[in-house]
Amino acid sequence: MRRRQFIRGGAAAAGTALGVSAVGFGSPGTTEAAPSTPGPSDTIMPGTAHETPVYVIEGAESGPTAVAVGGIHGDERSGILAADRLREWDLAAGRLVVIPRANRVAVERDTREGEHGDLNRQFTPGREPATELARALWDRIVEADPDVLTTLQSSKGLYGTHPDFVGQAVFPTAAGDAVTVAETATATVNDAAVPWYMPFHDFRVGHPLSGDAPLLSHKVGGDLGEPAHIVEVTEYLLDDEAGARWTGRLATELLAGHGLERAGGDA
Amino acid sequence: MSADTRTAADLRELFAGPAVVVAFALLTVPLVAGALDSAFMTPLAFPGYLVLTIGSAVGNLLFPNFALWVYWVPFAMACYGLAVIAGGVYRAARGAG
Repeated sequence: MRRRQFIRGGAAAAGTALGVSAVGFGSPGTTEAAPSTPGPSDTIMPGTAHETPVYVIEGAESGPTAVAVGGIHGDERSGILAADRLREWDLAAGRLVVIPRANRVAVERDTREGEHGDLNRQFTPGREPATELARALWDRIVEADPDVLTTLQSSKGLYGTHPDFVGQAVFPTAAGDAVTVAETATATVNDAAVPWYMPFHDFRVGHPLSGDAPLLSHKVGGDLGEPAHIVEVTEYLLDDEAGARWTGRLATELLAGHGLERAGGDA
Repeated sequence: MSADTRTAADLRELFAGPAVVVAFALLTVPLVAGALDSAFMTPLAFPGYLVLTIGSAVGNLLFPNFALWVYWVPFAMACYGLAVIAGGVYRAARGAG
């Protein structure tokens, strides 16, 4: 795989030298073809400023249920783009519930926080979620009865390289086999998607989420006892389009690790 | 040509000669292109990538409150220093040849 990356990178370099946009890790022109987009299955908080759609994709065969949440911070565009693509999946087995714009107000403002602060600090395990939006989101997640949840987020730096940032990392809950799945998924994506000439961009597995911080993933691990993952793709030297592709690839690997298989292979 | 004129020309060659300009461009242009649009990130950006990432890692350790874009300034300065060194090595190699 590394050799394939090297060859692909070499071709990209040659293309650049010739003035051709030969792309090392995907160009906007090579994104997935626009599939038919099904409408939302339902909405959270209809008739309010927070109204946001929920998409449910049913696989041909029965299987686990996964929930994917984007836009929990409104300015983390790659996660929102990736969630938009997740709702266009075809599933071989299982059920996928996608909420691409969890904090719609923040997404529309392009800010981290919405009307009532940071949405991802309103899910203290063992307690009622702190705001009406957080409660509505949590109720919908509980109704979905997930076997795994992932939040699609981004950060400005590189985990372990820039000590103040958590980009390019997956943070699994301590619940279930989340840590093992995260390790396998990051290794696969590092091998297949991260170019050799961006070695500091390799994804890492962060510390397991213990279940006591007020983040959505902590609450899933702590209150539901189910695996959850925070996917943090970096914005450092990576535009939103490439970030969305890497986020989507990680989500594919993580959800496959929990038994949710796409029809016709991955992205 | 006077000694003063020759010294000025030597200094110009040392700090802004063609070899320096080419080395600086090789370090910076591919990375800047890749940073503006990931579609243009290629192996040519690797040297600049190392300089910026290692520099920003040290900077983030020392000054955690600074945003990472700040490190483009020391990156440009470091690339210029490296380009002067590379230009000097190139001219020395040519002189030796």
